[in-house]
Amino acid sequence: MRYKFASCLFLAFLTLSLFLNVSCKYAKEEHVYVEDLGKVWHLHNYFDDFYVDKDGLQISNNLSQPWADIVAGVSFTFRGRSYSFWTDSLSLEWTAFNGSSYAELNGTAQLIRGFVSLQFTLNYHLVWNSSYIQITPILIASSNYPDLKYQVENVILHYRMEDVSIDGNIADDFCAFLFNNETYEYFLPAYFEHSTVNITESLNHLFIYDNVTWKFVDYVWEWNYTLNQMQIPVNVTLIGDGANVQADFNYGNFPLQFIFRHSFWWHDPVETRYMRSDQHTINGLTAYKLDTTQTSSSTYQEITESGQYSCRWRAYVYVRHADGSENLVGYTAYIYRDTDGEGIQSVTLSVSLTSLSSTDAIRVRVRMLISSVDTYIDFITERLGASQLDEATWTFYLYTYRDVTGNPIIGYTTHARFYWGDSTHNSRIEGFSYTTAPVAYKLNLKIMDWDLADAIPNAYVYLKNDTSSYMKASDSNGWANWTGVSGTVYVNVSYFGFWVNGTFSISVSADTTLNVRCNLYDAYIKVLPNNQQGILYTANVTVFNGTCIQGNKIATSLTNKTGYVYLTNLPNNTLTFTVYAGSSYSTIIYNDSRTLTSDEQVLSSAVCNQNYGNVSIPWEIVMMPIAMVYFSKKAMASKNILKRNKN
Amino acid sequence: MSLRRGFLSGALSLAAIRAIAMIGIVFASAMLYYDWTVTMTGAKPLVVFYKWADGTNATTIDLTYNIYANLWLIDDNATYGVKNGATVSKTIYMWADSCNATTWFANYTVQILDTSGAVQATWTTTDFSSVGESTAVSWSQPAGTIYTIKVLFKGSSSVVVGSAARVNMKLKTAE
Repeated sequence: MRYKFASCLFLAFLTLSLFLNVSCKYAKEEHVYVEDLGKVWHLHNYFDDFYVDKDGLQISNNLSQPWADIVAGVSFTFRGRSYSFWTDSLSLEWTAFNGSSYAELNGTAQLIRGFVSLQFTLNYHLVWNSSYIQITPILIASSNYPDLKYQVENVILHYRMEDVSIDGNIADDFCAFLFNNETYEYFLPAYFEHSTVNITESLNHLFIYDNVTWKFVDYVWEWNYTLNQMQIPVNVTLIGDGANVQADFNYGNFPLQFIFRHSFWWHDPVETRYMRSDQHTINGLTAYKLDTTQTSSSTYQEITESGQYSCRWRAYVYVRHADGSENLVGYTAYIYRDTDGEGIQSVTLSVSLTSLSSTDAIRVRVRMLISSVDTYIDFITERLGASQLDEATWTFYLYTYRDVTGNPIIGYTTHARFYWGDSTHNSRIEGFSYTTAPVAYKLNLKIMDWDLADAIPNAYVYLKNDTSSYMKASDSNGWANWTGVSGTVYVNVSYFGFWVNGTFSISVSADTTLNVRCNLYDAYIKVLPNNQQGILYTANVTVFNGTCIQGNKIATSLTNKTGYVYLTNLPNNTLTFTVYAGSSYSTIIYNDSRTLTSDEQVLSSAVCNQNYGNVSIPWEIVMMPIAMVYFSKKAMASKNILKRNKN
Repeated sequence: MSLRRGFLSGALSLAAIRAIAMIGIVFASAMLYYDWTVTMTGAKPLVVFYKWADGTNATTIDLTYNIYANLWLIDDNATYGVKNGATVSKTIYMWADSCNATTWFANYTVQILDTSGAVQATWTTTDFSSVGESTAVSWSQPAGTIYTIKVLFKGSSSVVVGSAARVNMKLKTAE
């Protein structure tokens, strides 16, 4: 008996030891380190579906699963424009935590189209031992050019772990977790109206910490949900709201500690512009491209002159405006070839600071000259989107050629050529420096119905570009206005849960105002009584996008004296038509659907087959004969009475 | 018709002198009130109901409608019109004689429209408790014309779903 008791005690101790060995893992606190910028960054950590329980970091809600996918991203603002991107998914071996490991994620951010890219590296230093888990993300920015000039603002570091499940049921619990041995409990906010809809799995939990004290200071719960096929982004801040809509996000102990440093700087482009062998038309000029990459095939032009001459080349630089007008910036000195030969020759040009409009392009004319014979070869950049050409020295590298043929008897001919377009004949400009203009165009979209008669309020207008998507509800005049838009954006519009136009793209290179013509149709419907004898006047016809509840109401109107009602701006879809007796919504006399396919459509009649009585109106004709005279019995009786009285 | 015959065969022979004496009184008035009605059963009246759909005539008709609480029903052109088949113009009287569901109607209106659509007579009530011939309206209808009957009514909140009301309408005209 004593032996058995000792054995049990030993087993219990062993079990407890094992348990403690696992459960004692906690985060090692370290200070947040912010490099270079000398300011404290607000730390936002995204954990999508990330689960930590009392036993430590647990991925996929199952310690036995040896891997997890981790992705990293970064978002920031540069000159008023937001950028956000993510790395590809990177698998982390669970064993990496068992000791220490080091993971590196690499990404590339191309800040502005056509410019050099900003690169970032996100290093994760992972340490796992018996007492703590430490994850150290280090974000390092770099670029092709060392002299970063502008600070990149509002850097938010994202990282998340995927393929992890969340327990719980949105509706009957609250958010509670421990962090640094303190319990945090928050109710979810009440202003989430559609708590009964199916919520998609896209959940983001944004924890915000005081990065000095490491206190949990804020929490943002973000998710997208689908309501009648319409994606509705929702952002909810938890703090300060005692709520009804609840969720079960019990994170248990939260033993993660982060150290990270990030320093983003950016610079004006200092580029090499290559003279390419292909052409484009910019601001009305068709010319060879002057671009940041070189083509693979070369071309040349040649002039000749009788006699033996020195050959000369020089370059002129112009600003070419959107209307085709030009301003000369300057021109180089001549490059000479007095003897035969070919190859790259260089010449510099001191460019003064020159203001630019965002639609301006730079035209470079290479002049080739033999005596009095000359020609010009034109090159032009794309519209730079720049505010100025910087004060800088440009170096022109021109591939030149001179050859003199003939002899004293028949005479000489001088040939001059200018080559460009490939790496061998690599004519180019180095030090091409300019300052980018803030990209901040306005995009004003007016949401209209099909016949462009009505502006549509409260339509959800979605705007997407390569990096982000945005949604706005059109205002009372149908406007959905954005600022800071550039490049190609994609627009679509949802109205009462129906997509009412196909996604279309807009190339925004200037302030833009557009009408968005939507498939919102006007329609007629006639309201009849059940036996279709006569029509119903003042019947309330209301159109819903689903069941007959106020929130689904799209349009309503009363029938006129011909029994018709004219309903405007209905989505081109199958809608519910409900007819009420009178202007109130108390008595339904008809409920069915109709499908709208065109504007001014006359829909099949609504025959009201509910809540009615019947009226029978029999008629008869009463005849009064005028050719005959009848005496009534009453008249005769009166006569008899009179007679009796006389008697 | 049997009543008429009986009256003529009996009363005329017995009171011929008194009847002749009263002819002057009778003819002094174009219309007399009669305590009884004389339906033209078996006769061919000159004012009839004309069925628009097939052109047939009828001396009695029955129009049926649905009625909805708090809602107007308008029948711009009832199944039948009123036809004056006589060779002379006729004055025709119209009224609702009775209703068995007096609280069902917030408004009940019958209009007679001439061939151009102009309203020639309107009989209307919001209170079926006081109807009858004394409320009759009249119009003069030229020979050979067919006038349209327009029916309008608004159900009151007292309409009983699934039940039926009956409104007896009458027309009267001189032979």
